[in-house]
Amino acid sequence: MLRRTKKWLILSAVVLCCLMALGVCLMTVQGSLSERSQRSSQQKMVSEMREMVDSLYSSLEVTQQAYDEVYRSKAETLAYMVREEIDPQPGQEEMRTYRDVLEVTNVLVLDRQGSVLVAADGAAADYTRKRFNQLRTVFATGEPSQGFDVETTKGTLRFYSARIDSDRMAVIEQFPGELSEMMEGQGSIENLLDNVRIGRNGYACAIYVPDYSFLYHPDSSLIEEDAIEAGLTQEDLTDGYSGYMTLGGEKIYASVARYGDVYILCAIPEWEMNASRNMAVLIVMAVFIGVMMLVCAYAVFLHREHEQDDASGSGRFNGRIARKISVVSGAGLLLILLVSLYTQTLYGVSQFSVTGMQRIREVEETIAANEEDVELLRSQYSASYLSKCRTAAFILQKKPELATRSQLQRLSDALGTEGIFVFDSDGLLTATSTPYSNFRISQNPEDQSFAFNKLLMGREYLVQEAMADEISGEYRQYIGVSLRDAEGSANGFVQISLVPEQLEQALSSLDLATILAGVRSENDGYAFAVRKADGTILYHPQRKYIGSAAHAYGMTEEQLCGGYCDYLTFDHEKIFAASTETEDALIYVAMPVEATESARLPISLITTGVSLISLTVLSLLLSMSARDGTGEKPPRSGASDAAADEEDAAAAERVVNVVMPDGSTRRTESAASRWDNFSVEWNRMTPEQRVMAMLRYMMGVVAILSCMALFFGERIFSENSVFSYIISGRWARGFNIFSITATLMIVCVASVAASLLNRLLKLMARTFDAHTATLCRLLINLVKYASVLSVLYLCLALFGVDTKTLLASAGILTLVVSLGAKELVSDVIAGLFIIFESEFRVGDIVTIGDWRGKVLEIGIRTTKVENAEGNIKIFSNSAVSGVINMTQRYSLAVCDVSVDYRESLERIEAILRRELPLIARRLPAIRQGPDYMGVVELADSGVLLRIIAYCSEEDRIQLTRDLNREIKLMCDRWQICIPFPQVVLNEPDDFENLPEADAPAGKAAR
Amino acid sequence: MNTRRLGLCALAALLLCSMALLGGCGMLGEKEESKGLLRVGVRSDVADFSFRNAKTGRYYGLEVDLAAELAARLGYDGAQFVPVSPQTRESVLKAGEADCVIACFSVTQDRLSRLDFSEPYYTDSLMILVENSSMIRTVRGLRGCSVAVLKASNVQAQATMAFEETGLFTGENAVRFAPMDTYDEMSSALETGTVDAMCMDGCIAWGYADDDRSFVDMKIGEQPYAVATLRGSPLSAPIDEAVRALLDEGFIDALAEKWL
Repeated sequence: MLRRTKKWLILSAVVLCCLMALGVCLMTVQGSLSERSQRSSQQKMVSEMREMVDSLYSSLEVTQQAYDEVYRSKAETLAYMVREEIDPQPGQEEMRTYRDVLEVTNVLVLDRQGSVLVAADGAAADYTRKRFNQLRTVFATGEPSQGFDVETTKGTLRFYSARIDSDRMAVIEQFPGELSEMMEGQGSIENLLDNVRIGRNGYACAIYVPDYSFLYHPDSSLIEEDAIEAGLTQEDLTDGYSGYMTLGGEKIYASVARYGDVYILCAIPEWEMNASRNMAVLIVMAVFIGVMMLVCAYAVFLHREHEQDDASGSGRFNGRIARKISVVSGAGLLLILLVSLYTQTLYGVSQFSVTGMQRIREVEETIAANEEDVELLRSQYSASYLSKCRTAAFILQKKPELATRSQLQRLSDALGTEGIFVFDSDGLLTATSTPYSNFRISQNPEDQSFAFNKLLMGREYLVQEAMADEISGEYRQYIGVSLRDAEGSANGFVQISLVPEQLEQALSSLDLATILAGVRSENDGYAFAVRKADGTILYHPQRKYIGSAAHAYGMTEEQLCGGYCDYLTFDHEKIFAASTETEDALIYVAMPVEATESARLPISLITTGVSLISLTVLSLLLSMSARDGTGEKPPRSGASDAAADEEDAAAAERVVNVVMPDGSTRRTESAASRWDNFSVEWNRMTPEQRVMAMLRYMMGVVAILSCMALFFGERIFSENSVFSYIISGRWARGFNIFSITATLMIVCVASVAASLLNRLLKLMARTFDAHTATLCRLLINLVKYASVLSVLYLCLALFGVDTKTLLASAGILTLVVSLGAKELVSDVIAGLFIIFESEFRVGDIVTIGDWRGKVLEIGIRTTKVENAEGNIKIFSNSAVSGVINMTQRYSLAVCDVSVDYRESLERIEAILRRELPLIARRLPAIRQGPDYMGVVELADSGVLLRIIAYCSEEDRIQLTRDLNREIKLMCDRWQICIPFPQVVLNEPDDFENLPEADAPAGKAAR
Repeated sequence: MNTRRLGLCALAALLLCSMALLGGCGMLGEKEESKGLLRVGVRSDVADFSFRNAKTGRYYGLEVDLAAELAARLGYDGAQFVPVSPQTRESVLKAGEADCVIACFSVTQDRLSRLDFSEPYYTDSLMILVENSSMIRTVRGLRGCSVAVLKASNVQAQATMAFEETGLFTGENAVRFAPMDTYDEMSSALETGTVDAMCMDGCIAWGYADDDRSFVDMKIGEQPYAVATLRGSPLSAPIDEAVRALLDEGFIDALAEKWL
C-alpha cells in the first residue's frame, strides 16, 4: 500500500516537473522571441523617429522660408514704391495706405543708421542698436534681409528690410502670429509622437532631459509630471536602452532615444506584448496537461488489467504496456504539435490583422484630414497671390507711367511674380513685363482668358486655378485685379502670372504617396495603393512597381477590394495585408509575414521536443510494474468475489471479446449495448474505453469552455483580442486560420447544444411512456442529422464556399441526390409513417416478415428488432411491411391436450377445475386464467381439449411451454391417459420362405 | 533500482522548486547609525547641473546626483536640497541653512578666505552669447558693444582681464559692461537689444542659448566648480576626501557623461 502511495507521489512529482519545465521553457522562448522582435521594431521606430524629427524640422524651415519669402517680397515692393515715388513725398498718411495695401503690421523707411525717416506707426524699437544689424545687411547685399524675431514694446515682431537706395531702406514689421499658427498646424513633436503607433496600445512619449518632466504623453494628465515619480528610473532613461519599465503603475516595454534635450520613448504595455504569449502558452499547456493525464490514466488502467489478467507476470519493464502507452503518447505528441502550430499561427495572424486594420483606419483619417488641409492651403496661397496682384494694381493706379516693360519687370521682380500684364478697358494688352505683345483677352468662353472679361464688367478680382497655359503650355496660375478710374468704374485690369511652385510643394506633402510613405509600422510594414479603375499600382515604396498592373505581381481579383484582411502574395513575397477603399484607389497596409512565420516553427518544435522528453520519461516510468516479483495482489474477500462474479456476468452481455481479422482478441462493447444508448459501467470498461471516455469528457469540457468564451467573450476578452476579432467576423472568408477557428467554435457550440438536447430527450424517453420514447428516439436522430448538416453548411460558408449558389443550384443537385438517395428518402418517409400512425413502438414485440422480436429503436432510416435469441435485425424503414404487432393488452398462451376416448370427460373437467387455479398460482406470468375452453376436436386418436391463459406477449412462448408441462404433470398425477400414436409391428410369416441367399443379409441388417 | 530512479526524478523536481524559491529571497543589510539628512545648497535653474521640476519640486542634474552620492558616502540618510542663487550661496552657508553648497560655485582666491572648497569636480569657463541678428560672429565684433554681466559674481573681473588681453578694452570703442541682477534680466535685455552680448558661466549660458543666439568664439578663464563649506567646518575634510575618491573612481566622469 505504502509502495503504491509512493509511486503515486513520484508520478505526480514527475508530471509536475514536466509541466513546469514545459511552462518555463515556453514562457522564456516566447518571451525572448517577442521581446527580441519588439526591441528590433522599437529601435527601428526610434531611429526612424530621428528622421521624422529631422524632416519635421526641415519642413518647418520650409514653411518659415515660404513665409519669409512673402514678406521679403513685400519689403522689396515697398522699397520699389518709395524708390519710384508713386507718391512724391510719402508722409505718415501714405505710409499707412502702403501698409494696408501690403497687409503688414507696420511699414517704415529708415536711414542707414536706423533712424526712422517716415513710418506708418511709431517705431517698435531702437533700430540703431546692434540687435538690428541684420536689417542693415541690405546695403551690402542689395537683397532683402532675412527675417528675425525681436521682442519689442509692441510684442514679438518679425522684421524684414529692403534697400531703397544707398541711404535708405524700407522696413516691414510683421506680427508673426500667422507663422506660428502655420508652424503649429504643420506639426510639432507632440503631433509627431501622437501619430506614432506601436502595436495596438503602444505609444510614444517625450521626456525633457533636465527635469525629467513629460513633454508629451498620450495621457495628457501626465504632461509636465515627473517621469521619475511616474515610475521610470534614471537608469531606464539612457540613450539606446530597451527594456521593461514601469510607468504610471503599468509595466511597459520601451526603447529610449535621446534627441538633444528630449528623451523619446517608444513603449508598449507589457500585457499586450505578453497577452498573446500567455494565451498561446496557456492553450498549449492545457493540451499538454490533457495528454499527460490521458497517458497516466491509461497506464494505470493497463496496470490494473494486467494485474487481474496475469497474476503471475512480474517483470520490471512491461513491454506490452510500454508499447500501448507509446502509441497514445505519440498521438498526444502529434496533437501538441498541431495545437501549438495552430495557436502560434492564430496569434501571429491576429496581431497582424488587428494592427493592419488599425493602420488602415489611421490612413483613412489622414486622408480625410488632408482633404481639408488641401483646401485650406489653396485658399491661403490664393489670398497671398491676390495680395500681390492688388499691390501691383495699386501701384499702377497711383502711377500709370510705370506701365512700361522695364518698370513692370522691376515690379515683377519685387513682387516675386513671373510676369505682370496690364490690359485696357477693351481687354487689349497694353503693357507687360514679358516678351508677349498684341494679346487680347478672348471672347470665346472655351478659352482660358475669357474668364477675365468679368473684371471689365465690374468684378473686382479673379483668381484662376492653376493650369497649363494655352499659349506656352507651361503650368501657370493667373490672377487679375481690375483697375478703376476716378468714378470707380473698371477701365482695365492688371494680371499677374506665377508658377505656383510653393503651393505645389506644399500640396505634394499632402498627397497620397506622401501619406503612404509616412505609414510606418513595426516589422518593416509599409503601405501601397492600387488604382481602382485599372488595377495598376499607384504607389509602392519600391518605385519599380509603380505603374504596373497588380495582377502581374500575383494579386487576384478577390484581393482587389476594400476591407480585405488576409495573406496575399505580392511578387512572390507572402505578406499580410489589410485594405481600404478611397474614391479612386485601394490602399493596402502590408506586413511581411516572415518575422512571425519564422518564429512559429521553432516554437512549435521546441514545445514538441520538450513534450517528447517529458512523455518519454513518463512512459518509461509508467511502463514499470509496481510489483517486485512476489506479487502483492491484494486478497479479495469471498463476498466481494461473488459480487464481482455477478458483475462479470452482467458485464459479459455488454462487453464481449471479439477476434479481429489479424487473430488478436479485443474486448469491445456489444452492438446491442451500443444501440441501447446506455453507457457501459466504468468498472467493466477496457482501458482503451476508459481513455476514450476520458477523452470525450475532456472534449466536452473544451467544448463547454469555448461555448462560454463565445457567449461571454466580450466580457472576458478585451476589445482588441483575437477572439473578439474572430467573433466579429470581419475577416475574409476562405481557407484561413480564422475560418478554422470559427469552425472549431461552431462545432463546439453545436456539439454542446446537440448533446444537451440529446441528454434531455433521453431523460424524457426514460421518464415517459413508450410513445414518447419513440418520438424522442426519432428526435435524437433528427437533432444529430440536423446539427451535422447545419454545421456543415455554416462552415462551408465560412470557408468561402458560396452556399447561396449551392442552394440555388440545388435543382440539379436534387436530381443527382434524389437518384442516389431514393432509398434514403423512402426510408425516412416510411419511418415518419411508422411513428405517426403508431404502427408499433419501441418495446413492442412484432413480427416483420419471418423475424419476431422486440423493437429496440425506430430511427429515421432504420428500425432495429431484437429477437428472443438476442440477435438484432436492422430493417430499412421502407422494408418494414406486413408487420404483425403482437403486443396487445394480453396475449394468449394456448395449450391443447388430447385425452383418450375412454376417459370420462366429466372427471377430467372436474380435475381441471380443481387444478387450474393451482397452476395459476404456480406460474406468475399468467395474468388471467388458465381457463378450460372445451373440446376443440374429436380427433382420430383422442379428444382434443383446449386450455388457455392470458399473459403479456413477451412471456407467451415460455408460458406456453410451462403450461404444457403443468398439464402433462397433472395428467400423470390423475392418471389421465394422453393418447399418442403407437406403431405395432407385425412380422409377416411368408418372409421365412425367402431364398437362402437373401436371408442372412436381411438378418444381419436387422 | 526502481525506487532509486524514481528518487532521482523526485530530486530533480525538488531542485526545480527550490530554484524557483531562491529567487524570492533577498539579503537584509545592517542599518548604520543615522546621521539624518545632508543639507545641500543647490541651484534650481541650471539645466543638467541642478534643475528643479517646477511641478514636483524634484531636483535633477549632475550636482544633484553628486550631492546624493556624497551624502551616502558620508553616512547620511540622504540629501536634502536647499535652493540657492548666486547671491545667496554664501549667506545660506553662513546662516547654517545648508551644510554645504554644490551650486556651480567656482573657486576664487577671494572666496577661499571665507570658505573651504573641495577638489573641483568640474571646470567651466565663461562664454559670451549674442543674438544672430546682431551679425556679431567673432570677438572682434564685440568692439563698442555693451556686455551684460551678473552682479556679485567674478564674471566682470575675469572678462575684463580677458578683454584687456585682446585689446578690446581700450580705445574709444571699448567694451562696456552692464551689470544686472539676474540672468533672466540679462537675457531679456539681450532679446530687446538693450545689451549686445551677455557673458556668463558656460553651463548657465547653455540654458539661455536657442536657435536665434550663438556663442562668440571665445572662452574666458577657468571656473573650477567645487563643493563649498564654511571655512573650518568639520565637513570640509571628509567632503574633499569623498570628492577626490569619486574623481578617482571615475564616478564624476560617468556623471558628466550622463548629463553633459
